[in-house]
Amino acid sequence: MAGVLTTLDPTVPGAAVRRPGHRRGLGGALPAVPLLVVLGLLFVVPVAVVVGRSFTYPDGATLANYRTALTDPVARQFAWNTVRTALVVSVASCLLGYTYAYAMYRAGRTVRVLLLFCALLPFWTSLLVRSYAWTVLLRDRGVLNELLLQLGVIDAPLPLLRTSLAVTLGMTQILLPFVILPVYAAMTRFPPDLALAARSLGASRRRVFWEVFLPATMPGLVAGAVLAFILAVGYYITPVLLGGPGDQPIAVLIENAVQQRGDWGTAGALSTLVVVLVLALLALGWRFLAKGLLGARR
Amino acid sequence: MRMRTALVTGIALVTVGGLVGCSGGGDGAGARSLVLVDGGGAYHDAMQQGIIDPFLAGTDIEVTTEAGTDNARLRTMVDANRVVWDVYNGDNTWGTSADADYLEPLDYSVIPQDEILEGYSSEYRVANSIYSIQLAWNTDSVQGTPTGWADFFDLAKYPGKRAVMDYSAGGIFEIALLADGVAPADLYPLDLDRAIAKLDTIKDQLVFWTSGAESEDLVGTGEVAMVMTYNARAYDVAQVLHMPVAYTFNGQILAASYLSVPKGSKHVDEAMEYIAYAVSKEHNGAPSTYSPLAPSNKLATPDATMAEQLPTSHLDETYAEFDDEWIAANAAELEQVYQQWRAS
Repeated sequence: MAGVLTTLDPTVPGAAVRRPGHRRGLGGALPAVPLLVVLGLLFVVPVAVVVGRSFTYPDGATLANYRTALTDPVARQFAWNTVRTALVVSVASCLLGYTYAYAMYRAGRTVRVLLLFCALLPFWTSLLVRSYAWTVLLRDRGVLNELLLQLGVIDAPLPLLRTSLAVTLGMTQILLPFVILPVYAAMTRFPPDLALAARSLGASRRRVFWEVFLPATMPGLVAGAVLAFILAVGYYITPVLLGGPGDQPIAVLIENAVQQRGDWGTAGALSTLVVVLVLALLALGWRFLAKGLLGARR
Repeated sequence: MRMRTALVTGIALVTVGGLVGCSGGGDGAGARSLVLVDGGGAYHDAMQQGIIDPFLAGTDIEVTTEAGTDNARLRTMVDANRVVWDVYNGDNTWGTSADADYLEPLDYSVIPQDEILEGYSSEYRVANSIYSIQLAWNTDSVQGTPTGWADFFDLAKYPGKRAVMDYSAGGIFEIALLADGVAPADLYPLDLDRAIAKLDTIKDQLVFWTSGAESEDLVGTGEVAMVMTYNARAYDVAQVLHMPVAYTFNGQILAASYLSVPKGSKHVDEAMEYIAYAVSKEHNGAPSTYSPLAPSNKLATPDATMAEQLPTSHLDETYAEFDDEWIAANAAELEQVYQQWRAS
């Protein structure tokens, strides 16, 4: 499989053959039009409406909603919960994801396919089901606590559910594939000759990893980290189900503003701030994202 | 250029779809029909069997039911002048004068207002069933018999976790004040500082539930010792699922589900006819055959075997009532204080 990826990869010398049907300019993007139209109607338009309302609701042009959103201590607390959780989850996903991808890279074909299958497993179960599964595992009378109690390791149930730990576990499991896949792709693009060259010049295996392999695969890792962070910022169900009072995400406030009070202004302002944060991150990480997901081609 | 053509085509298609949808609705204007929305689940099943099915048997009105009340969606429909719901079966927080812009006034020349329990009908809504928020506990975890909210807050007497509804207007401040000795008649305006101080005494033992089913699961499995929940949920987990759960009506807070008509409904007359039927003394007691939902009509007869399970059968014990008008007028502040306390 790695062989296939390598030969298709234009960064590998000799593989940069011009693909048949490859067209320069915008004309090549024609097959993407149907999806773009759907995205435009079902995503861009609603988002634009939400942003619009944040500046106009309830009556006429106003910045009051932003004043509320930015000065409200509750919103600040929930925003911090969201960003902190996203940071912790991205770091955890990167550490586990890189290690896992490295194992895939080093493994033989059969094991590699098996590892890939395991990594993708979470994709095939509903988010809600997975989050509820964690509550069954972690609750006071849950599988883990009952087991530890039976074994006599503990006398009273450990507080696992409704903690930041539970949120981190639940979200990291879900977001891991988003790190593993770009990192693994970056590793398959790594030219083995480089490692051999470094070895022949006297570098130890450890030094080859830290000074050659890791920097060369870093774009994949950054791409995965940015993806994981952006997705984590938008999480709602998992932190609500698994977290305690200190883990509640900004999405909770947005939902309450709309559902309970019909306050589209505050909800719009909070949503817009989240979108701006995500766009800013995308702008910062775009170079790595493009490189990590598409390869080094410009 | 092509992109623009495609976009225009897309928009045109959507517009045509909308027009076709409108004309479809117009064709139906001759036939009498209405769309009814409620919360779904066991509540809907009780209403379907107790009210909707018998109503359909004696009318030419075609009733379409939808599950999933959503105040935000209703407001959006009215604002966009595309109202597809005709009867809205909302909870006690919906339909006060705060929502006047979104509702049709009810036609009390058709609906028997004088038969409805005092305080459970107003210009825009009429209660169709009475429920309550009550205290339930796991009988394996709790030694003894709690008698009210004071016991819910007494960790020394009844150790263990407690689960509360994760909703600022759901009664969490009310139960704290009742536990702290405030008389039911003096609850409103809520003394939020006092309520927060009381809640702080058990905060590290609190679990917040977001769905009625979750509250049943928490107390049924013993994940928490006590729970504040809907009376129908306590009944379900104890009497239907036979989990080790008991409950008390002492200290219950009465609430109601209400029928209202979204402003701009194309079927106002049919909606009024349905509502009059649903709250009439002949039919209002029928849903209690299937679920412990008390009739809101004073003259209605509830199911005899369910009578003991109805909140209104326990008014000789201490009870309180939500002041929905006050709650609606102070909703933003309640939410702010609640979230600040919960997150800190």
